Amino acid sequence: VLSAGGLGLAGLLLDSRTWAAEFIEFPFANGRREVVTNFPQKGAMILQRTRPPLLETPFEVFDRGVFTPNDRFYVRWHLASIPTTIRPDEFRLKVHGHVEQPLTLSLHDLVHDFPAFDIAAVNQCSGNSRGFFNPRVTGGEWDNGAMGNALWRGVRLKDLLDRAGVSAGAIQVRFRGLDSGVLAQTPDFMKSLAVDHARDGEVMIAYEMNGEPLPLLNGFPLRLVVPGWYATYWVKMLADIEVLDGPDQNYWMSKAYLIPDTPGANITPGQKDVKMVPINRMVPRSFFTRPTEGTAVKRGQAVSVRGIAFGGDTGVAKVLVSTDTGRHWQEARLGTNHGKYSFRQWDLPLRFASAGPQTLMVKAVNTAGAEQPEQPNWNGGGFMRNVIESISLRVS
Amino acid sequence: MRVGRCIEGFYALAGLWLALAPPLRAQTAAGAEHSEIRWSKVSVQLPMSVTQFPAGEGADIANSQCLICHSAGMVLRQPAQTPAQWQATINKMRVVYGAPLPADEVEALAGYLSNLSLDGTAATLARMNLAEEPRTGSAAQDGAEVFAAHCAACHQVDGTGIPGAFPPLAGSNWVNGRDATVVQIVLRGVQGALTVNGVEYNGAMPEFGSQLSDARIAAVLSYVRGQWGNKGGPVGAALVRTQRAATLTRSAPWNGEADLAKMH
Repeated sequence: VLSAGGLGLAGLLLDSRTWAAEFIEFPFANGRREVVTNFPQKGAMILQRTRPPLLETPFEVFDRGVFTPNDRFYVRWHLASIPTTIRPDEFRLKVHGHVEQPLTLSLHDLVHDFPAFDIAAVNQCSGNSRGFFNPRVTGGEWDNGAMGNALWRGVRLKDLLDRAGVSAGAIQVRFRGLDSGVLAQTPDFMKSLAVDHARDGEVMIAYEMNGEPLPLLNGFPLRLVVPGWYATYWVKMLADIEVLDGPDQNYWMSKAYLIPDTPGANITPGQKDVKMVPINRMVPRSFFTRPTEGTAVKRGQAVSVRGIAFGGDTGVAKVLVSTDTGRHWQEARLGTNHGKYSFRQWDLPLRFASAGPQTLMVKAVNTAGAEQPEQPNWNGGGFMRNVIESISLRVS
Repeated sequence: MRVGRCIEGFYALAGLWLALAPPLRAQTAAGAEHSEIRWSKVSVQLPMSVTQFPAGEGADIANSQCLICHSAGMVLRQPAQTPAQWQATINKMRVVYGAPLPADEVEALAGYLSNLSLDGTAATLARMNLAEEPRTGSAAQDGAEVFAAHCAACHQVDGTGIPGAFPPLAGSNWVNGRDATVVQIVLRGVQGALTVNGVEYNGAMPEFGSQLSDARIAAVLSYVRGQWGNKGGPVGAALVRTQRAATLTRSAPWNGEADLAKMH
C-alpha cells in the first residue's frame, strides 16, 4: 500500500502505528521537514502541514524533466473542509452573476460542448522560497519546491463566458472551489480576475494535467489555470464562476495576498504607508538542478551544469551562468520550448581550472527583458522571491 | 538552438537529457480525444494528524483553539516571532477566521507560541517535527484517532466542549439519544440553535459525510457514545450507510434543533 517512490528505503522506519520516512533539512532556521508518502495520489513529498495539506515537491524532481509528475506536484490548501469524494456524474460547474444566460455544466458538457485547449504552464505559490526571506516572515516556510510545471488540458474560460454572455458593466470574474472553512465565520476561498483577463483566451479550466485527471489534492475535477500568474488564482475544485459588476471586496482579494506596489514587490523591512495591490504576474526565475550544492568535482574535468528556468509572465529569452560571482556571464543552451509559460531546461558544460570552493550563479532573462535581481526582494508576505540563485561546488 | 563552446561528447549526453519527452498524451484527432475521457469517482482518505502542541504554559489554549482549523505542523515550523507578532497572527485568526478564542487569552497564547519558536534547540525542534508523524491507514478505523483528529479540537479531548461555543459530548442528551440522529449530525453537520443539556448553543458544525467513510463515522460515534460516562451504545457502519443513502442529496447542514428534533 505504501510506496516509497524514488526514495531509498534505507532509513525508512516502519511499524504498525507510526512511520517516519526521511527527514530533510532546509538551509534556514527551523528547516527540518519529514518526507512522507501517505497522501493520496502522491509519492514522496515534503510535509509542511497535514491539515489542511501543505506538501512541497522535493527539488531533485525538477532535474528529471521539464514537466512535474502529478504525484510529485506540490499541494497547498487554505481551508480544511475538503471534499474527499467527488462523483463526476453529479459534479456541476456554475457560471452566473452578471451574465445573460446562467450556465450549469456537467463535466460531460464541459468536455463535449467546448473545444479542447492545451497549454504548458508553471504553477508557483506566491510564497515559494519564503523560508529564505531575511528578516524571516510568517507563512508556509517553503524551500524552492512550491512550484511545478504541467501540460494542462481543458477549455478556455473565454468560451464559457461567451456562452453565458457577459453583461455590459461586468468588472471582474470570481472563482470559488468546493473547499470551505471548519468554522462558519471563515471566509470561503475566492479569487477574482479582471473580466478582460478572464477573456484573454489563455485563462482556462483544466480537466487534465499531464494527460491524466488532476489528483484530488491538486483540484480534481477542475482547476482554473491562469498562465503567468501566481497560483493563488488557480482555484482548485472549481465549481462556481460569478461575473461581478464591481470590484471583488472579499477577504482573499482585498486583504490577503497583497504585495507592495513597488518594483519587484520590494520594500525595506518596517517601511510604512506603502500602497498595496493584489499579487499578480510572475517574475523570471532559474535554478540549478545538477550538480547540487556542495558537490565535489575534479579540476579540469567537464562538468554538466543544468537546471530549469521560467520567464514569469512571458517566455525565457536566455539563461546566464557566472563562475566569477557575477562579473562575467555565459549563455547556457536552452532545451525544447514548450511555450512561454512553461519551465525551460537549460544546460552548460563547464571546466574549473583551480582547486577550492567554486560558486556558480544563474539568472534568467525573459523575452520582455526582465531579469532576476542581484539582491533579494523583501516584503511582509514573503512573496515573489526571484533573486539570482547560486550554488557552491568543491573543486579538487 | 544556440550551441556555443561545444564539447561534442558532452552535448550528445546532455541533448539526451534535454530531449526527455514530457508525458504527452497520445496524439489523436480532437473529436476522438473528447470521447477518450472516462470520468471515474474519486474517493480518498487524507492522513490525520494527532499532534498536540509541546507541553508548556499556554499549550492547552493552543491545543483547544489552533487545532480546530489546522494541524500543528505549520505553526511549529515558523521562524522565531515576538509575542507582538504572534498576537497579530492570533487576532487575524479571531477576527477573520472566527476562532472562538476569548480576547483575554490572546496574550497567554502569544507568549506560549513565542517561547516555543524562540527556543531553537535541536532537541525541541526534533521533538516538534517528530510530533507530527502521520498515521497509517490501518489506524484510521480507530474511533479514538478519528475523534482526536476531527472532533477534539472543538469538543475537547475530555468531551466537555467550550462554554458558549461548542457543546459538550460528555453526558449530552443528543450523543446518548437516538443513534440515527447523531449519525445525521456527523454526516451533514448542524447550523443554528441547538439546546444541549438545557444550554442553548448557536454555532456551526461542519459536515463530515464527504470526509469520513461509513466505517470511520461508525467508529468515532461508537467511541464517543462509550466515553466519559456516556451510555449511548455502539453505532454500526450499516446504519451509517443507510442514513447516508437516505439523505444523499442534502448539501445544507441540519437547521439546529428545528430539524434534529423532528427525526424519528
